[in-house]
Amino acid sequence: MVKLRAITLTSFQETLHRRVLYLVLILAVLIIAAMSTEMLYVRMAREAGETEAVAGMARGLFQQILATWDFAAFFLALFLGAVALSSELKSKTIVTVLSRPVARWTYLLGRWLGVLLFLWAFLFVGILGALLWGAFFGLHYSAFFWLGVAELFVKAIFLSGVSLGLSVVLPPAAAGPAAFLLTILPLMVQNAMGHPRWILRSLATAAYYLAPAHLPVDLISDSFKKEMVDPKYLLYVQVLGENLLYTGAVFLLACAVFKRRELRLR
Amino acid sequence: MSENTSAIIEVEGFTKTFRSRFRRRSVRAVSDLNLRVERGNVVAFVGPNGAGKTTTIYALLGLLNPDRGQIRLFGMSPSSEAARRRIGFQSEIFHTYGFKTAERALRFYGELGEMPAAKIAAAVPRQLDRLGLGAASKRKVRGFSKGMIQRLGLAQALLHAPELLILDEPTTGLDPEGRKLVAEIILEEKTRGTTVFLSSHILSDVERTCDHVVILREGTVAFSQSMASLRGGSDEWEIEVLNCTARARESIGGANVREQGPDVLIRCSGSDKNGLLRRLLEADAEIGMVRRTRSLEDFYMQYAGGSSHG
Repeated sequence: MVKLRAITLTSFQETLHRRVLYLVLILAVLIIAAMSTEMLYVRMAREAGETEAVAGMARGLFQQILATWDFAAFFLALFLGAVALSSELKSKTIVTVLSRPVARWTYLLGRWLGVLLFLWAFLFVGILGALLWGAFFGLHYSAFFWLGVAELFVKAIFLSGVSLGLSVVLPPAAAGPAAFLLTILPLMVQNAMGHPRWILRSLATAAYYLAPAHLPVDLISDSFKKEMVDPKYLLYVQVLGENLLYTGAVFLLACAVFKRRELRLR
Repeated sequence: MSENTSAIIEVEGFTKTFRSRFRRRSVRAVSDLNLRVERGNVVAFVGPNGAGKTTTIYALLGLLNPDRGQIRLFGMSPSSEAARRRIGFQSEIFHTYGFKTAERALRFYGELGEMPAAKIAAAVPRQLDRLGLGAASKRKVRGFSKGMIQRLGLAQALLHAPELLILDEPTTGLDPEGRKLVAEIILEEKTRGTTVFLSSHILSDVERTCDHVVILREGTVAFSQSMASLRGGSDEWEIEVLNCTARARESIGGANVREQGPDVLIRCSGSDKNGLLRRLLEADAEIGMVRRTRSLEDFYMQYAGGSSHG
C-alpha cells in the first residue's frame, strides 16, 4: 500500500505540473466567462419579473457550464491516461522506480490512480462551481441529474483507464484516439448491424459487442426536461457498471502485457 | 540454486539481440556472456560504448529479458521482488522528478524500497550529508546541477543499505572532487561487505577500488581477471627521468628510451630495474615515477581498444 500510495501521489503531482492542463483550464474558464454575457439577459429578465424565463436561462447556463467542464475533463482523461506511462518512459524516471521491488501492476495502477485523483478533483471543482451557480438561481435537481454526475466520474475512469491500458501496446498519440474511437464505436456500427451482407453485419455486431456499453440518453440535460418518459434507471446504472467492468478488464489485460514488456529506452 | 550460495550475480550464456520494428534489422548487444560475482567483491565492468554493459545491467535488474541464457541474483530471478529488495541501482544519468525536493525524492525511493518510515527518516539526511547534499535537501531537483543529480542518484541507491550495488557509470558528470567521493564511498561500502558491480570508463578509479575487472567487447567478455593478478602479472617497468642530464643519460646504458622533451621514459625488465635505478640515483638523476607498464589501461587498449560504437 505504501508503494502504491507513493506512486499515486507522484503521478498526481506530475499531472499538476503539466502545461497542457493549464491550457485546457484557461480555455474552459474563457468559454465559461464568454457565457457570462448571457447573465446580463438573466439579470434583465429577473428585473422584469420574468421568473419563468429566468429559471429557463439559468438552467441553460448551468448545462453549458457543465458541458464545457465535461468536455475539458474528457480531453484531459484521454490525454493524461495516454501519457501516464509514456512520459515516464520518455523521461527515463521509470528505470529507477522499477529497479526497486515494485510489481509492474502496482506501478501501472499507481500511475492511473494519480491521474484519476486529478481528474476527479477537476470534475469536483467544476461540478461544485456549477452547483453554486444553480443554488444562486434556486435550481432543483432530480435523481436523474445525480446519475448524470456519477456518469461524469465513471467516464473519467473509463477514458483514462482505457487510454492508459492501450498505451502499454500503442504510442500515446494512438492510444488516446483509440480509446475515443471505442466510445463512439457503438454509434458507428449500429446501422451496419442490419446490413444485408452477412460479413458486414457480423463485423458490425462483433464490433458492437466489443465496444463498451453506450448510454442512450444525456442524463444531465435530460434531467431538466419537465416530463421524463419512462426513465430506465436500472438500465443506466447497468451501463455505468458495465463500463467500469470494461475498464477493469482492459486494465488487467494491460497489466498482464506490461508484466512481460521490456523497457527499451533510447 | 540455493540462496545461501556465495555468488551474488550469476550470468550464464546471456545473449540479447535487439530487433528493429518489423525485424528488418537486428543488433546483437550481448552474446553468450558468462559472469559470476562473489559476495563482498567489487567488480568492474568496463568496455567501450556499445559493448553491452548497460544491456547487461538492465537484464540484471529484470528490465530486459534474455533471448538465451540465465541470470540469477542471490539465486533468484532478477524480476523477483525479493531480489530487487536487496539491490541499490544508480543509472548512468539519474533521471528523477524535478518537482520533488532532494529529501522528498529520497523518501519516495525509500518507500518504494519498502523501508519503514523511521528508517527512511534516519537514512535520508544521513545519505544526503554523505553525498554532500545536506544543504540542498529542501531544494527542488529541477534546480540541481548535473553533478548534484548524480550524487542524489547515488544517495538513493545507498539509501536502504543494499547488499548489492549496481552502479552504471556513477561518475558521469561529476567533477574530480565528486569522483573522489564516489571512489571513497565504494571503498566504504566494500568495507561494509557490500557487493559492488560497477560499470565505468574511469580506469584509474577502477584500479583503485575494484577486486576484479571484466572487459567487455562487442557483447562478449574479452578479458576477466582479478586486480591482484593483474597488478602482479607484469614484469615490464617504466622509469621516468625528469630533466635528463648527460650524466644520467650515460647511466642508462642500452635500455629502451623514449624521449619526452627534456624528460625520458625508460623501459626495462623487473630484473634490470633495481640496478638501473641505483645507477640513475648515483648520477643525480631526478626520478619522476616508476610503474609497471601493463596498467589496466594497457589491458583495456589491448582487449577493447578501437571497438567503440558511441
